[in-house]
Amino acid sequence: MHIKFKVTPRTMKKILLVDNDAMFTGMVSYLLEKEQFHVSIAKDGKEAASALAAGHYDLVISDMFMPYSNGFELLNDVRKNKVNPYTPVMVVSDVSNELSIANCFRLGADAYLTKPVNVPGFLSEIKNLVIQQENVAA
Amino acid sequence: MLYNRKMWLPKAAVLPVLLRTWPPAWNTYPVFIKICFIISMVALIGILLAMADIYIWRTAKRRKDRKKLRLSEDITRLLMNTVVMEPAKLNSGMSKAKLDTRPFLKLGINDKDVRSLFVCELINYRNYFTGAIAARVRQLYLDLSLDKEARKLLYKKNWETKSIVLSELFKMDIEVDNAYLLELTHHKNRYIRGFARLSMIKFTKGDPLAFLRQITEPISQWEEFEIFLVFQQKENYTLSSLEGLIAVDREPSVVSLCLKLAVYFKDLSAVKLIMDIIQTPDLKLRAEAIASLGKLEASDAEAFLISIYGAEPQEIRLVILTALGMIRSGNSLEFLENEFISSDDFETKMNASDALIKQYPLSQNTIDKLMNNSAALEHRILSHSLNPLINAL
Repeated sequence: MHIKFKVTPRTMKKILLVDNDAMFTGMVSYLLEKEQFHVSIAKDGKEAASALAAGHYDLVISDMFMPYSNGFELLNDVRKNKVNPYTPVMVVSDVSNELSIANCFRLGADAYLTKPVNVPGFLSEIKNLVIQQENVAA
Repeated sequence: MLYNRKMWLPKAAVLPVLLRTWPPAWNTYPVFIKICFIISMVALIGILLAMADIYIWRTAKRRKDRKKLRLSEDITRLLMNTVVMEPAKLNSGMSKAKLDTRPFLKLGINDKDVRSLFVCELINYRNYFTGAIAARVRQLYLDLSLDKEARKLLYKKNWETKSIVLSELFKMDIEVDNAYLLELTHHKNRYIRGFARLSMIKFTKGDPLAFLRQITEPISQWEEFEIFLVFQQKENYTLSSLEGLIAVDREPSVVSLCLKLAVYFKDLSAVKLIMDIIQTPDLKLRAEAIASLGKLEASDAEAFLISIYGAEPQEIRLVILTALGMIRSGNSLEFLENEFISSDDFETKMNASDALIKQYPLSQNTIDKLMNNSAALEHRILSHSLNPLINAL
């Protein structure tokens, strides 16, 4: 007999997507939901910080330059977060200069991808980070 | 009694009720009151009409936006399911397979608004995603014959349509007739001109710099930046000859762009041309040319730079010292040492010292000698230049 397991929200991994570009967040959230992730969207670093304070996320995907509070500040906030400072952070940005990338890694980013992204690579990177986080939690 | 009610009331009750029932007599009012009243009424009616218009316009816009949002969601869903999803297939040459265009045709892309929204979404996909997805999006654009329509629109007189279509074709990597493109590179509208120039650089295989030879007006810095960006993205490209472009009689902004290109593509054949334009009276361009020689590490130009040093103004001298430091051949050490010791100017000493440090280890003996024998100020300047933390910045 073929048994089908229904994926419940409890088993779904939670991703916080931070970007002020509504078009990009729309596309990526659709993509990730199809891959069975639960996606929350924040428009800037400030919104993301309050979302992170309110709940647990398995991964944060953030842009670098946003209004109010940028990606660097968000990275700082995540790493200083006393509840869950080891949440993996992936930075997806248009910026490809070495100094910005180095700064991101120095502040604790786990991956850095430049736009335009290669979807298969992007998805496998996300899955790797989520699995790593799962292992750390275990 | 000042007025007779029957006198001013018309027999046929055609006047508004307000006028008929209004106690004071209209005829007894002074003329300016009547004029004021009429103006007020006209203004009131105007305001009401404007408000009604705004309300109708906003309702229509809201309805249009709702429709657009629904359509946008449909397009996203379709594109996600047919173009983006199934990444496993994306890696296995799926980009070459023919796409099913029927669901896209059902969206009604023949309609002008739907088409523009759809194309905008396709362009966004190409901006956000790379690899097989970008190729498939372009394929879809071609399969739906959207390029043919765009090419037709390109010959329209309306400049807005023309610039939108040019940008669309440029972003979708669709080539346009080269002769027509060359014509558009000198269009009076700056958007059309800009996109035509970018397309020209992107798609021309022979000499993409051809249009620069005909430019007589300055290129803006933003345009320069965009052109440079397109050159950077050109695959397997070797810079065509800059002869005739790096010349004294050429527009300075064009020369400046060509200098940057020569440095980026490490075009050493341009060194001779750059040396020739150093005689230009434009000091900014002269400084830029000297700096380019430094960035190109043109050791052939070293003796020439030293020979002109004495006749140049102070700001150009500083640039020459920096350029000599960048060339790093070790042949200018004696000159730099002399400048460092004999000059009274602090900036000159700073630049000479930086230039010497940049030539390390060739300049090791000179630096050691200067560190041991120089006076307090020179010693401090050298120590400052030797500090790796300061140099790193």
